[in-house]
Amino acid sequence: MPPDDRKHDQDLRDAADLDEPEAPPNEEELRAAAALRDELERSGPPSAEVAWLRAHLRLPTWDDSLGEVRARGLARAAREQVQARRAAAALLAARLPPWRQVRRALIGTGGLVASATLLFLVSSAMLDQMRRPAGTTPHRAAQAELLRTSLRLRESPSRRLDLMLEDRLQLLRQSGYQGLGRTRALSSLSGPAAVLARAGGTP
Amino acid sequence: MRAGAALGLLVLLCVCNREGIRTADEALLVSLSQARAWQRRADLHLQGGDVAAAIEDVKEVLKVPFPPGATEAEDVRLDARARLAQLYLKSAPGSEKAEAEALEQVQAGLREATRDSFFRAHLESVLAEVYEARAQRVADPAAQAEARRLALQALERAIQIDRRLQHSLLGGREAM
Repeated sequence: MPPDDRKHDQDLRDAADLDEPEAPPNEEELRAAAALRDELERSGPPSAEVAWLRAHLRLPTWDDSLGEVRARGLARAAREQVQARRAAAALLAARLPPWRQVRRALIGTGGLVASATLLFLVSSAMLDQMRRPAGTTPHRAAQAELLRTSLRLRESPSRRLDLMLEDRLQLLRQSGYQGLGRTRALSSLSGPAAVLARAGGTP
Repeated sequence: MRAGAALGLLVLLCVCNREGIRTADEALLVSLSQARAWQRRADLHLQGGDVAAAIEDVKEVLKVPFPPGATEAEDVRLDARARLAQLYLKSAPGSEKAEAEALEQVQAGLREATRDSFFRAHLESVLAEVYEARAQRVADPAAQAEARRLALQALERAIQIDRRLQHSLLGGREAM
């Protein structure tokens, strides 16, 4: 490699090191730190700032290096232990008979969530059926017949809206509508059949 | 622990679902009530002979918002379109402009219709009325014959819809 290219690569590495705060110091920085350390030691009585700077500029001791090595070893050991346990669990699951695998899946988080969802769908459908006892086919047919008759008699659309409102109110009442405020609100919509059932004009 | 959390989530979903259905029912009642009020206003204006005011009232029915998924919404709108068309015809008998406005309402209603219903069949009948009015208005025998042909086609479609609905109702399937 030509000397110019080598210098260029070194410059790039130096620039990258400057951008990375955790990068190891280069030679120039080490020289500058040593010079500063000597300067601080030659200076007069140490102030608080000088003491702080000296502490940070001191060369790493054997204990520091040993602690770092121990920490790395502990981290590696923990990682290997977790990986070993996972591998053992996967091996154990693969060796289990199918019915035990199904059982594990069912009592797992996914199984519980799936069961809850299924239960919710079933109960929701059942509740919907319970709250609409009149929404059966004969009822719908009767309602359709009423609307058809109204159209045939050329009654006002307001009469057909009366029929739709009565139908909906009936469904709500049969579903055991509760709540005082809401019941009051609904009562203002309902009324005697004589009031609701009035003949409309044409069209 | 996990089972308890799942059960709690389930109960919460059930409660929210029921509350949502109730709210939707109330919203539907309010919408129907609002539409009924506008149609009644139109009735009263018609009793006083004010067809123009009645038309404005029925137009307001088309602006009434309905909760999503309410089957009544389409019925109410088709009914209002049919009434608007009839009111336009009534407002200026023999007028080409009134006839065009009536035709526009019916065609808009037929475009909106998504399923067979008596209201859709009724709209086809009103379409036949519009073509009958055209047949009476135009002097050209060929145009008269064409208008009558279109009226017959509309009535045929209305009959077919009614037949399908009858078959559906008698067959025990849900239809209205």
